[in-house]
Amino acid sequence: MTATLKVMQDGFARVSGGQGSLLESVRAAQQGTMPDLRALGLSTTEHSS
Amino acid sequence: MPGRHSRRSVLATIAALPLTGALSACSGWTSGSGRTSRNSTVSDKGRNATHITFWSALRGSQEVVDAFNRTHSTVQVDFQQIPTGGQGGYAKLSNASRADNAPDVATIEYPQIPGFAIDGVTLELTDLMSDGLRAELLPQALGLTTFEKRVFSVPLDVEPMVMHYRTDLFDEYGIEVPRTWDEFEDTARTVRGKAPGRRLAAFATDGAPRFAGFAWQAGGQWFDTGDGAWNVSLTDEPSRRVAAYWQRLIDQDLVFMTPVDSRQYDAQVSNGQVLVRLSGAWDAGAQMNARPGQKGKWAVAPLPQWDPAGAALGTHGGSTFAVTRSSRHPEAALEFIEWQVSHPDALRARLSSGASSQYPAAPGLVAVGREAFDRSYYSGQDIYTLFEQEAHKIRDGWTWGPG
Repeated sequence: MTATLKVMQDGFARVSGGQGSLLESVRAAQQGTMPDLRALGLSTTEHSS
Repeated sequence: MPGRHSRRSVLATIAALPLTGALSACSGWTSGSGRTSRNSTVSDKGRNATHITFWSALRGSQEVVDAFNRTHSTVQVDFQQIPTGGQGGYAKLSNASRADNAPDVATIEYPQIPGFAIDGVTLELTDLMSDGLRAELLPQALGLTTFEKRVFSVPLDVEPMVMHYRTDLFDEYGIEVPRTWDEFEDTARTVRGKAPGRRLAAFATDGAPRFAGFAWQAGGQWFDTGDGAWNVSLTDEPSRRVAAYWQRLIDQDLVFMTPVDSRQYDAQVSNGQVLVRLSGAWDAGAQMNARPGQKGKWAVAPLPQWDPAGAALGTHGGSTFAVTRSSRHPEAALEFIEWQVSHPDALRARLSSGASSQYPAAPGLVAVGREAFDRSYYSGQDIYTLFEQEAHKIRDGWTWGPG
């Protein structure tokens, strides 16, 4: 989870600087996670909204 | 919407890694009896005892190791305090594992277990854990270290999220402890109105695990491993609801936005600019250690709920002990782990440091915590009974993911 959480926190930090939103931060974390899981050779499905 | 599938299963990478020779070389191992047998080479303390290495950033670990070494003759532990995971502890563990000189026992927080398991840092413990040890642990906690019925780490503590609050400032502003998130928002507005330089709380910009705990409470399920795949859904409806809630508080300037691991946040808490900390049970001890001068000014209450009739919680924090694949003494390592997570003397030793309020994953130890914890900082409040009540609200089924 380290990379996923890091992406999310990077987004949170941007929100504190007036950029983006918390939801965008969470979305970015998911989008950043999927390639990492696939790179590990793991079977994945993604649900997004 | 379902996304692309790759061809390998949930634990394909883990499954591809064979057990190390260290395990097969354990001549004295038995399991299932509730206690481990001894390695045949073990005899006298010090001279011929099996020495194992242990890395941890947890408060009170030295006291625990000292207590273990005093009371055991066949296994002795060499302890090294390391930085927390985010401050270099995990990188140190990964590097050591790659060089095959990781410690026998390492402390790993729940969110990192899948990653370390897939990376081959941790030894699978499924066949090594005794039934007795399994029975001593809260099922929700063991579930967080188990993937497809395979156990990769042993829970030490499981930390229900609670609300730590300044009793003196609540009294000064005439505010009640909020029981719901709606009340929490109203209270935040009241605080800002009465004390413009203060806020009810800070949203932790470095607090993604805390945000996960909020989503967990609300019914979110970021990962699951059904149907043989990692199903990822960080933006499910509960998580979007939590994001919208905190966004609203931020947009109204009702909370600070602060990295919790910072001098800025320390100052906000130390100066009384922040009235509430939303965090795991462990944070009560951390507060005692960090700000002894605020003795008598804090209490602990349940985390606000979305629906009090269906109270639920996530966790924040909590650690586990893994045997690494570098270990040449996995049976001795597990003996030490079992003692740490289930023996009353281990919890007493950790609490004796005066800096821990961990909520044990072994329910049988809660009474020990209740008795051993120094309540004076919290004006005599029995916080362990509160933690016990809150631990029952932890939603089952949450899964941390790799990545």
